[in-house]
Amino acid sequence: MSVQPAPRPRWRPPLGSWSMLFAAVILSLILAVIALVPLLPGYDPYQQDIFNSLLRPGSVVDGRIHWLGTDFLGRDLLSRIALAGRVTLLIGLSAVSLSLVVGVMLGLIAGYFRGPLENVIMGLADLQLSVPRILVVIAVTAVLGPNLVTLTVLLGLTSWVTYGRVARAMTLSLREREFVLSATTQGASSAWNIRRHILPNVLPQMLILGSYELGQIIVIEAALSYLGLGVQPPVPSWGRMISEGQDFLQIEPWLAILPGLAIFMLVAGTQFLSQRFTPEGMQDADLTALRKRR
Amino acid sequence: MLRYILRRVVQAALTVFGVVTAVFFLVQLSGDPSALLLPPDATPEDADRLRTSLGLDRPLPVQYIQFLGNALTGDFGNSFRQRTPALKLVLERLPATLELAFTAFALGLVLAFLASLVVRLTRSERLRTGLLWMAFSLQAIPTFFFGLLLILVFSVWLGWLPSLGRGTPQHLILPALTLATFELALYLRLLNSAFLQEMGQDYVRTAKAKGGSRVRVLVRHVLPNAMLPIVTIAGINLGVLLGGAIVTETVFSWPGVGRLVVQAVSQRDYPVVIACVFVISLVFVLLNLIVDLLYAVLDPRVRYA
Repeated sequence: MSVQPAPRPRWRPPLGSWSMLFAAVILSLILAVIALVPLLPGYDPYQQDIFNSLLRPGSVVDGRIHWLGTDFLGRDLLSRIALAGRVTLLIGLSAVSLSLVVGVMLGLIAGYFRGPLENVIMGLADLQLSVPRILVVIAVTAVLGPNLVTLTVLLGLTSWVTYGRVARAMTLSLREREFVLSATTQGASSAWNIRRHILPNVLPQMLILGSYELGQIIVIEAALSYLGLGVQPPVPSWGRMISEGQDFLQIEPWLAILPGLAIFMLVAGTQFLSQRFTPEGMQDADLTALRKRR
Repeated sequence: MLRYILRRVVQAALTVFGVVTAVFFLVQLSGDPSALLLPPDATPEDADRLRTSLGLDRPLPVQYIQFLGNALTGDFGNSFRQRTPALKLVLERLPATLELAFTAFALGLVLAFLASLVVRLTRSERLRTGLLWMAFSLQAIPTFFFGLLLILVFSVWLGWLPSLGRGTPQHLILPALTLATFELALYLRLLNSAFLQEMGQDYVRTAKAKGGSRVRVLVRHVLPNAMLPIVTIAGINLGVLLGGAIVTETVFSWPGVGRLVVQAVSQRDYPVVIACVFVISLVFVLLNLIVDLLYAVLDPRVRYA
């Protein structure tokens, strides 16, 4: 009777799968551009040079290399992409934090105290879902005028529903669990229960949601800036750079493609990575593990 | 069943009411429209007269009731720019938007179904993961940028299709494809998991045991069940679709409501903005209502409590 040799474990790429590796690589790349380019000597996102507009990537002017070329006003494209990335991340992270705080608070309140308050909060959520998010932002922008703070607050306040709904659902089941009941019988107040027992259990899920929502918000911000209703010039934004580049699509398509690529790298990177931690991603990972074991 | 329908209709009406109220207060925030309407050399007396004729001198609750009444009769005032009723402007543009949205909707669904069927019939794991990868990537590309890429390839480089405007069926292809991709990605993912789930059910084994061919089992038995989550999500997603239409229309200069609202915002033409918001929300609420009722018909397991 021959003994079968144990199958050699199959080699797996770092981070478990090719898609995770890909996500990590593109995300690190774009983050490196956003973080490091402003530290380079040639960095200047605003200086115009009309005689050197629409230069191809890699052109050298007076000893200064335009790695990605220049736009229609002769501004350095790489510098503008890097600065636009900082602006986008600032808006995205602030808006996500705001919506997460508002959403979790309302969700916890609705799920813990129930009653008419829950109906009001969930009714508000339904109302919000009944109008496209981008339309709300456009309508309010029409009245208040576009500026960075308004834009960020608006994006934050129109994005709380996802967190609110999930936080409420989780709270509904958490508040019936033994560790909460036991705290209550020992005289714990509602505030204590929420802070010490419910919030810590809800928060991890919320952060995963947040990392997914970050991508969504970046896309919406880019769309608004593309429409001219988001970030206002002279501050650069990827969306606006794409709309400016659209006019030169026939002759210099990279003007629109490069900022688009930047959006893709940031959004795809964060979403792929956050995907790993959603139920769907877990299931896929489990399936892969299962298949490997067989 | 009747109670369920009634409840949903009341709910939809309440939502529209909420939207109209929100719009009213938004208009209050925008301040005094007489400044925008009058020529720069107008006297304060002129402004007063205009305010009286617009009813702006009345108390807020009275103005609110009046606004509700006007909204009910479809009167949102005249466009500041074109001097025609705002609602009329919007309704003229509505067919173009609906044409685009429904074509995109159908295109996304059909492509997703076909792709999923091919995957199940060929049982190719490589094709499945490849499609899922594509779906994930597509979801990370902003709609307007994808549209731009399509213009670049099919209009600028290949010269096959027009890049802007509306008229012939060729004009519809690129905008509809652009708008469909986001959905396509979502439906691919959903169908993939729905199929995986349904294939393990007892009724599938029974159907196979009775000698049904693979195509027959898939199309007759699995597909209707796998469709349920899609219908739900499609309803919720119509809002995303209409929102996406706003951007897509601008990319392709498609003369719909979305392009109108963007133009109206940049021209500060408030009556048109309000009418657009009202009409888009109304369409959205109605579509959601229809989807919910459809859902109840499709799935007898839904309880109408």
